[in-house]
Amino acid sequence: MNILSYFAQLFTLQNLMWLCIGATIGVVLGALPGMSADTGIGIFLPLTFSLPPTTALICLGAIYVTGSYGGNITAVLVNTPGTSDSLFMTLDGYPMTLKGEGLKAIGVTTISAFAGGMVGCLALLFIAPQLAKLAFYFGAWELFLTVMMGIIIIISLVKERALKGLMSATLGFLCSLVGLDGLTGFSRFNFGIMAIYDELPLLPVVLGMFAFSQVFVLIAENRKSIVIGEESMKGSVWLSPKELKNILFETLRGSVIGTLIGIVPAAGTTVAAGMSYNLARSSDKDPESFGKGNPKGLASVSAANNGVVGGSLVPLLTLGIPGNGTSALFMAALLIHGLAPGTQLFTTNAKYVYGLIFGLILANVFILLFGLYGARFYAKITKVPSSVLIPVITALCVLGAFSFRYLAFDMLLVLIFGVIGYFMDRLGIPLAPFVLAFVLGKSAEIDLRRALILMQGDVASVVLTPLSILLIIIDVALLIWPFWDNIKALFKKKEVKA
Amino acid sequence: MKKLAALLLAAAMVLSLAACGTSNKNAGEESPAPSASPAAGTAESTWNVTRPEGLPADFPSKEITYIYPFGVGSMQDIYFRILAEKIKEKEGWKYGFVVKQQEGASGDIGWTNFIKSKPDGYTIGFAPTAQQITAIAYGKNYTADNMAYIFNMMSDPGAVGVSSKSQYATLQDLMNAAKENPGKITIGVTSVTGSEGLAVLQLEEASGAKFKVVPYDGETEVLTAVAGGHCDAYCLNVGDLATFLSEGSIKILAVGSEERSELVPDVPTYKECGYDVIQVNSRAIAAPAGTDEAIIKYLSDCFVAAANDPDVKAQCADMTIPYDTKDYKETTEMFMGYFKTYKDLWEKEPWA
Repeated sequence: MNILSYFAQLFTLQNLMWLCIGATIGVVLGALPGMSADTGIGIFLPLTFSLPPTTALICLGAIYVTGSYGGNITAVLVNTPGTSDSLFMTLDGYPMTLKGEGLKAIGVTTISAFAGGMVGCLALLFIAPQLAKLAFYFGAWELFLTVMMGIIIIISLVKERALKGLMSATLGFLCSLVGLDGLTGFSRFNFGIMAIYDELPLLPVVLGMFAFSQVFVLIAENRKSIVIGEESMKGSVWLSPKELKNILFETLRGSVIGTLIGIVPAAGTTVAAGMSYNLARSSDKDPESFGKGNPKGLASVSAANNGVVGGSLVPLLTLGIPGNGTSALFMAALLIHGLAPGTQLFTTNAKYVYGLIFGLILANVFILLFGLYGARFYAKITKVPSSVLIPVITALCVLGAFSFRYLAFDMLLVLIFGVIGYFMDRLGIPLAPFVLAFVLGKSAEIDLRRALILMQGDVASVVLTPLSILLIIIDVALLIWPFWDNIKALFKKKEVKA
Repeated sequence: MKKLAALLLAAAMVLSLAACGTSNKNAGEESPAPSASPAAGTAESTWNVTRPEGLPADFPSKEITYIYPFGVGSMQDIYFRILAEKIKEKEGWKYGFVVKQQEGASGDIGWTNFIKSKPDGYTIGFAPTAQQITAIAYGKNYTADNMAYIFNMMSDPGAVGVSSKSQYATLQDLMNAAKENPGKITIGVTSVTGSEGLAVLQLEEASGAKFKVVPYDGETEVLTAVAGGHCDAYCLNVGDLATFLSEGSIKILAVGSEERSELVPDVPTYKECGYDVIQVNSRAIAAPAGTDEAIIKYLSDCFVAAANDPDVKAQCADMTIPYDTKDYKETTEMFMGYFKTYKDLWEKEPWA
């Protein structure tokens, strides 16, 4: 059967209706702090029991796609990442908004998220079985090297403020050590508090650091609203051909990085977005402009973020290996409808899986619709008076943290990390290294220790494989890159002296 | 005017969040309104639940909370939701079950809240074998004698296996290799202190072998590492293996149940291979001790009837569920047995 005929069968009233529902729910949940695509799929999973498989998968797929995008809007406009994944959007997106280019920022993040999503889906459509085998090559050591890429990015993030940046990262690593030691089953540094027996939960910490601290900042600066004056709405969400060309390369590179990193189990969005951002910044003629509202930075991150969606489904559909938490939920959805992941999914059950993939592609189109046509509406949020915005952000943060597992302690965590985040902000200590270290520290530690157990003293046989050597080269290159100019300067000086 | 619009928008945002938090997690609410219509006539032959004497006439007069202390989307979570929906529909309840997902501390946070909740029949919880292991090892009070078991959903036999490319063809091969090269053969588990780590410990004792135990974050991670050749063997549960078995990337050497598993009838048990070890992970539903027996009996009958319902069977046909439907009496007996076994083992040699 021709692949295109699967595309045609998609257009039934029921399919399109559930696609719309899924896409809308996804954007809303993605934008709300504390809610994410995971929440949406979790909630909708039982709702889709009674639907035909294709329709159910399309609805859940749409939640996944648009849920990964929804957080971009709030991250860019109010510096409040809806999910921890959209953290990187705040780096360049929010400065753009402060400059009064909020509409343009939405345009950039929408277009590149769309591009990233499409690249991921096309990879899924055409080369999934070939790409899938990639997942098997990653043992504990290779995963450690991949996670290290994310950690190395910290260095280039803090180059100008090295001491303060490393302070922030160290605090992040310390926080990541709290809780269960995955190898021995022993809980460390929990001070006898059962709520952090496993770990410091990611969501309350990130919400506190990034969203709740904004409340204090808004109060302290006595701002009437995020953007003041009529200039806030300057520019258009529709990018000019010149602006499009400007971000084209970063978008494409981010899309490919997102797709590839998505395939690697457990590497995830943080590594993908961080790597893409780092490459965009290091290779740019004017790296200083990054973090101060450069559309290229925003584009590279948004594209990588949504590229992960398609990528993470590649090993899931072909091998039954979920690349991240959300795709693990997706596996449950497939199983409910009697579709076991594996190669037979692409042969005997092709009808459903191609329906899903085309559904994902259509959901990407919804990103464009929501982003470009809704931008003027969303942008109004930056003009909402602080007296309204502050209670809303506060309520969302606290409720978001609480709804995660119904523990009052998590609300306290939001408050504590909100205060920490505020003071770090005031002291000029960057927040991004903290979160990178906090998110990746745990996996780096466990993967390294697991790798050392598996090596059993025979280091060479694990480290000297082609993939491992390739990853080490990438790690070292990422490490040296930010200092390349300094190193060159050093050599030049020596020559002059000689 | 603009201010008002913004305010309304803000209120809507907060309200929508609150709505997401409460109503949508309700497992039963979305099911169609209970129908006492003639259409139900055909199913009457299988659905045979009577309300026992002493059951409050209005039970359930509110939603029944089901505390589930792990992440959503697993096999037992989905199976429960399907059963819950069926019961609400067939019994024509006005209120259904609400899944309250409360993760943390390897289940301890959810179970601690569960065991101290009011024994009025409106709070029930997920009660697997692992709960007893945790309770004994960490001195917690959610032991089997403190609970009123309602229904056993499934019993998943343990399984030991290797990559399909591996040189080991039988469990004896693997154990002998681990005996000759102590600490050289790696075996992946999800937790050293849980049922899997415990089973490896018991297998080592029974055979004199010595493995290098490598804990991973989840079943799929273990299987990916084994299939990719990074780890030599795995010790998991049969229910975890379906996808990888059908892909042909792993093989299974032996199962931990008393008798052979229906899911993999060709695979011998640990006992058949000469190792006197039992590893079974049962997953039950329980209420705190002191709950009215009429309520326990009624709920038990409902769950058993739902598990035997043809619609439910059809819905779960393609999920490899190791069914082990047991009513409240059989379930209590089984879990008291687990409790005693692990308690004796702990007194002999603490594992955590």
